[in-house]
Amino acid sequence: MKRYLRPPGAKKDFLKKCIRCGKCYQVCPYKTIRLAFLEFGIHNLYTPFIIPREVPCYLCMKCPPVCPSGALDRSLTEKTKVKMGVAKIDEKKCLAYLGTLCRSCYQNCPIFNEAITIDDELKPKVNKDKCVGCGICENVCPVEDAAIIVSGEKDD
Amino acid sequence: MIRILRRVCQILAFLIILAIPYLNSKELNIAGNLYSSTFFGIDITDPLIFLQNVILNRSFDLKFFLSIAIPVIIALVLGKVFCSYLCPVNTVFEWLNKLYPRKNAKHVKGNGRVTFTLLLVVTISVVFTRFPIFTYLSLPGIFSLEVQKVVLSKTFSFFWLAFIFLILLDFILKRRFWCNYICPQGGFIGFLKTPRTLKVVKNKDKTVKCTGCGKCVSSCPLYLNPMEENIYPQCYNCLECVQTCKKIHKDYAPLSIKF
Repeated sequence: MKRYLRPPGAKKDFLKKCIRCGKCYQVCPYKTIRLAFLEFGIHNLYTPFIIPREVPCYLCMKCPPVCPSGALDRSLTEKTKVKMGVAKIDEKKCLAYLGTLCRSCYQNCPIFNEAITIDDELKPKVNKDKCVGCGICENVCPVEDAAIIVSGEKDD
Repeated sequence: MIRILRRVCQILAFLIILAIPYLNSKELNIAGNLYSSTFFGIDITDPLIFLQNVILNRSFDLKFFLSIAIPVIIALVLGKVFCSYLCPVNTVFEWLNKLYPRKNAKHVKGNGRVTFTLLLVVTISVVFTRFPIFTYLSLPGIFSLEVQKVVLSKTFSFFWLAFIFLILLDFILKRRFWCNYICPQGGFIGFLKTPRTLKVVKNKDKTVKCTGCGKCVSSCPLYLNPMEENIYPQCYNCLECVQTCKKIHKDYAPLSIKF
């Protein structure tokens, strides 16, 4: 099954709390959030999902306040407090690890120089505590089948 | 007057559902559909969906709870007017039935037993399966969501096939069976009733005589018979019958409304 992320503010009990109203999907200005039909199983019908390789979350924070049931934490306004997942670098695929000069993920990370840092050998490193899981790095990675991927927490 | 008001409400409701995806991108703080919507910061949520969420989570927060206040108060005061004035699914079924009326359709007696049993069975199923069944039985919710998905993502899902199938069932099997017996949202607000809720009544004044013209019966979009004692909880107070009766009998109409 395809990997997907939940919108910012989703917690472990997201699937139970979500009423499937699709408001987060409506207010998303980048069309990052999409609504599942049956591609992720019947229990995910009409729940919001994000495929970061296609459109990542730009952390505009418009969706958490419109959630009626609190499935997305409505008090969440700070980008840095979001936790949609964690990025992980595949060192066998990453161009920087293979010796090419590439800083795409580092330069595009919205939590700049904190979530992804560059070490002395010019290799990017993910700082798990600072990474919000927005998926911008996965989106901009020039390697086909991104060398950096974000995995969300399982919510069911 | 009421008839025009109702038509305007039905069309407006449909247009607002269509326009909401555009309105919310204009920073107007309007979003949502018939599951839950936000108008200028005020949340309105389907009361049955709220209850289901409380069953599933055994908890709720204040903002979520307050969002059911408006629909619950409207239901307690005016009855099932949500169905007759706003629900786009009713609009589709009602107008199709007006376009293609069935001659000598059998009349429906007001009886909440089927709906009540269904609500009970589904509630128990929700408790045991931990699966939000009411969400997927909410035709107004799904319909409005799917309309907005067409507007926003330009995608038609299999729901539309299922919906056409339902319209065919309505024509072949029994007219208005969904609204009269199955619909859990309408069924639930039909049970939110007090002795003072708006209702259609027969005039007790002996000098006012029903001539038995039957125009009220044929005007009912739900195929109910308003001259029968009990048309609730099916009747959704669209007041078509009262309007028709008043037109014929002027001030001495046998049908009237009462709180």
